[in-house]
Amino acid sequence: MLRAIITCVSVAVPTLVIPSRGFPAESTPATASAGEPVGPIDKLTATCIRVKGSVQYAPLDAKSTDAQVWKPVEVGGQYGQGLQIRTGIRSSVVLKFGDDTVVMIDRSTLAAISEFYKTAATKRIRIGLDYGTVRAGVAEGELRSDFAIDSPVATLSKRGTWDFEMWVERGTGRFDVKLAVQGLVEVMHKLTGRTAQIKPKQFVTQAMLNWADTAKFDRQIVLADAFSQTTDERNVYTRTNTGRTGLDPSGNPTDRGPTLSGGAAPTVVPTVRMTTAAGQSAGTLAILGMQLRPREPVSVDEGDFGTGSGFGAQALKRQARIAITRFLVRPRGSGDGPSRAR
Amino acid sequence: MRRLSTVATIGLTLTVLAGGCARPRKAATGVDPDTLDEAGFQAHLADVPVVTVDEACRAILILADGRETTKNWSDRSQELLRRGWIRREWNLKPGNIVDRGTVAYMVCKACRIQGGVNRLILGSWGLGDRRYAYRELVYRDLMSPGTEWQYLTGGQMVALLGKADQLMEKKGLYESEKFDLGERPDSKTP
Repeated sequence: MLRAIITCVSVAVPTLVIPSRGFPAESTPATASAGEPVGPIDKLTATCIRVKGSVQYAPLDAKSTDAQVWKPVEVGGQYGQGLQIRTGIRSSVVLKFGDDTVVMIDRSTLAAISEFYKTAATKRIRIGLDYGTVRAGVAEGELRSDFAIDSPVATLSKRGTWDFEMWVERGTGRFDVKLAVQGLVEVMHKLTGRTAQIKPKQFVTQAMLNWADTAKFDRQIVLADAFSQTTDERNVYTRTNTGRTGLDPSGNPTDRGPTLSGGAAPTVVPTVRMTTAAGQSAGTLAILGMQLRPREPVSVDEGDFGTGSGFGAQALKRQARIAITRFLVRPRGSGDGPSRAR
Repeated sequence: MRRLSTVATIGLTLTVLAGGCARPRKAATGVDPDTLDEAGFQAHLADVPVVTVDEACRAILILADGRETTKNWSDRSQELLRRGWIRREWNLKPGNIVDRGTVAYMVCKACRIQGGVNRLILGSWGLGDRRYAYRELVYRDLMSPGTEWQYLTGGQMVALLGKADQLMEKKGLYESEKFDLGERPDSKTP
């Protein structure tokens, strides 16, 4: 059974002031989710399962330049709430929060375990992210998982979502949130109330634009699938995006422009051959006065009118092919277009 | 009179440009970066409002080598000149604020980013080398859009180091153990 998983991401973007550094203020354990009894809480500790490079931890109030306070993180070590963790170049650490939650603090990151405890029905985890990248995955466990990553510019909270990532740049308000494997992430902009949904393999940045809106600016991506399009769809895409045109079954352009083949794949021109009762060829079928033409494009004498063939190698090859075809299949005693070679 | 004022304006502009736009960092951080170890230096870098030339060079060398290999500005400048990652003509001063173009040029060298046609043809011998290096990093989303003569904040520098390190790992420029979240555990529906 599929469960709809919604992740609400509240984004707070300051209007006039660059977001301040540091971790957001801790919420006290008493402020549990609305409607849920506070009850007794059990403080838990996360276990470090993998370490690479230089990874250190210190209490939340420790200064970043006080070398005496910072100690190295070790595999098997237990780390509870109220600790900050920093990683250097070529370094990362993976922490396990119980059986269902894994958090990876990637290179050049300063993060903190702000809260980690459980009540009768909920396991609450709050990761503070000052700058850098945090990846996490939360499976559905026996307790309801209340997981969130807090940063000066965005808060990501979810459950039942695997392999999502948040990156924050300190002081500029730049961030991005990605979802790789499973779940559904909803980003909400606190200032404007605008929301954006992120599905697996998508991401959103501080611009809060849908991935499809930013993909075409990020990389040149052809969004049309040439292999599954119908002929009409290919013609429309060709005309509106490439400046070329398509051919109708008669070999004429669909928009009466110069005859050039367009689109990612050549237009398939159906041909019909009539045969006599004896099986002899009776030539091609002429429908409504239009003669079915071969698949090769027919170039008009007036030229291309600058519709996109340009001076590229492909255009030259095409023109050469047209010229050779016209030479080999030149009209026999008539001025009309090419006829089939016998 | 008009000609005189025009000449004076041009002369003043050239004087300002000849002096260069680089200047020392005004705000004192209260910490001498040379006294910090590698981890402390990277944390200090995130705290600074703008990055100096010395800090940038030290950070780039740590990025490239994976560890601290130099002790002071003299060692760093000699090493970077030897590698061809900075040019003597830039006249870099350790206490001056570094510009994005200079940092971008060093990062491109460290990450072995060839760049586009402009960078290969013009930047290779000096004309617009830092400009096109910066444009290349903006294209690759390693740096935010802007101009190559802008300053760099500490937060931006740290973010750049992280992304550049990620790129180097992806390109296999150093041996690295693959790190991942691991297998997703089986869900236990309450």
